[in-house]
Amino acid sequence: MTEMMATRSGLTSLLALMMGLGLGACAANLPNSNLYSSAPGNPDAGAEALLQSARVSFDTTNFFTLINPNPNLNSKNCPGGAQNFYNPLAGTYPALGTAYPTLSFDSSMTEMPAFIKNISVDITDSNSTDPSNLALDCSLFTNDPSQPATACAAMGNTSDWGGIPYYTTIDTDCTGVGPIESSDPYPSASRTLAGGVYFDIDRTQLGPNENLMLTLTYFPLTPSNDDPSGTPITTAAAAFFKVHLKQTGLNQSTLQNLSQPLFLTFLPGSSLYPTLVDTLAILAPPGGSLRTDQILLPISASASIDEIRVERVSGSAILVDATLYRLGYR
Amino acid sequence: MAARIYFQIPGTPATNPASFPSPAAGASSVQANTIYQTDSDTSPTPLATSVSSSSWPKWISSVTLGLSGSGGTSPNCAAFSTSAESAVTCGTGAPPPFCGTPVANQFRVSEYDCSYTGGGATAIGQGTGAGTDPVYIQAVFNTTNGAIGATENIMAVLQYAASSLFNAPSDPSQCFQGANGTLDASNPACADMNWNIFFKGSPSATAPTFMLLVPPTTGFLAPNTVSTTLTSYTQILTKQIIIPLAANEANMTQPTLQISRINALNVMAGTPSATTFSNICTSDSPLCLGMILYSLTFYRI
Repeated sequence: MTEMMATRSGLTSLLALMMGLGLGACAANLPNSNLYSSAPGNPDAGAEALLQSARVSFDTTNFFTLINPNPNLNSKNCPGGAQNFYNPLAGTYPALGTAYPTLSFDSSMTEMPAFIKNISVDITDSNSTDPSNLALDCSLFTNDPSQPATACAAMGNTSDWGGIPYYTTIDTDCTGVGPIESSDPYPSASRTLAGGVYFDIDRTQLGPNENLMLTLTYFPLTPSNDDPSGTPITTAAAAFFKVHLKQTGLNQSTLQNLSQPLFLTFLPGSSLYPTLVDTLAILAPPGGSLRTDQILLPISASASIDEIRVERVSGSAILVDATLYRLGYR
Repeated sequence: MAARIYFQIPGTPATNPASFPSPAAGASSVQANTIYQTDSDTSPTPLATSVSSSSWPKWISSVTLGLSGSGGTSPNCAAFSTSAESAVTCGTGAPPPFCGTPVANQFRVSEYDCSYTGGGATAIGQGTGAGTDPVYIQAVFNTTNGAIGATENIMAVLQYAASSLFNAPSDPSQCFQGANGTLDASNPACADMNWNIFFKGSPSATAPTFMLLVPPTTGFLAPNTVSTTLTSYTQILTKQIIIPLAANEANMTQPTLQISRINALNVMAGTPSATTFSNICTSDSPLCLGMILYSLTFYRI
């Protein structure tokens, strides 16, 4: 507790701890909470158990956003969760794949493979006071004037290069946002560790020795590129992401109902949600170009691994899409 | 278990590993007939010299190269290099940088020859991952009769060099010019060249993109607007491609890995300037804008 209060204000740290313990979320008020799990009672469970892979596109039509938050999670209306999942091995170029069927009990989402509990991204502007923002109640920063809404990690922000409808992290907008309070002028530690993706998996749906593969298409910005203002990206603002394997133990309903930004729930060094494999991979390629990277996920290293965290350490990037594949029951 | 295909045809010296026979004039494709062990990259031991050989890996049905489309309409686009291509240079630097193919009989794709319509050649079409793509590498796997285990996957490692004229755009929004701002990696303003990797159910099937191969390239020429001196170089790199066979869809009767050229910068006309494509690249110049393919290795994992 002392460590957490030293890194952020005491209030936000306490809230993060409460959320992690499920004490902040009104779990009892979640409609259809059981139906979002793989447990019996989910009418789509049989179909979802057969799905071997899924692709998500980090854009405003395929993720819940500020103006289109998840309508089925009590009154919090949270943004940042994946809404539509695609079969990456069916369909034609240049489509994402063939969309899985809509859930029989929730027309706002498609089926997802049973081995996936949730896919979400950090959102740092859910406390925006813009009237179009319907996700205000999902922010940990609502009514906190010391923490303005920023485009540090946001989706479809209109200030990003004319409004790219994808998930972007803008380093210069992250000053004071990250979990480390620092007045260092350069580089600013307060810009770090905010933003990224959380892939939560259900190990009960996988073999004990089974692994997964993640394919990520993204545009990491480097000094070869310009930021949204047209200024060349500095070396300090070049994209630098890490992939970690973590343990949360959280169920699907809790994960989908977490307040934003998510990184305040999963603070570095947390004993509640330990990192079991730190820095499985570093994604910091030079050249500043659109690219796809494959990352083999050795989750068989520990039965407790149930989250893949693609963590923005620093820098700016545009995330396009991600695909998770099973690599065979073992 | 592992096996390697070399993108070469027999030549000099005779001991150079070569997996393909010399294609007939005007052929639209050529299939590998020799596959090697992975014990040496310069003098590997042959595993089999015929697809019908009992020593040919049963889990690899075929490996085929697409050669610019039928009828030889763009014969120098995707082809095996000649000895003359080892002396091709580009630009007007002193000395002008090398941009050809270092060795003869090597499979390469020279974009200058894929797009140029002068001299009667026909520009080749855009790839889509279909079996009718003009330029591709296609590997078909056999999962029947226990040739490969139900929970096994394959890792393919491609050794290649990909050169573009320019680096990636400074403005990343150039890659998001599709409908409603969606991604369009095939936009020449996003990348000079676009190759995609596909994993599909059969050689003739279509599929969404499995992953991008190019962009990025492994180097770019960065022409100087003053003197057309080319200031950069292209490296040979490997790309690991993990193919999730164990996630095999029920309709994957012949799981197929296809690496297809989608399209490339093809602005040949217009106001000539020091840095336009046609003023810098020349015929048989894969290291100006194009690819040199060296080998493809398959591992069961």
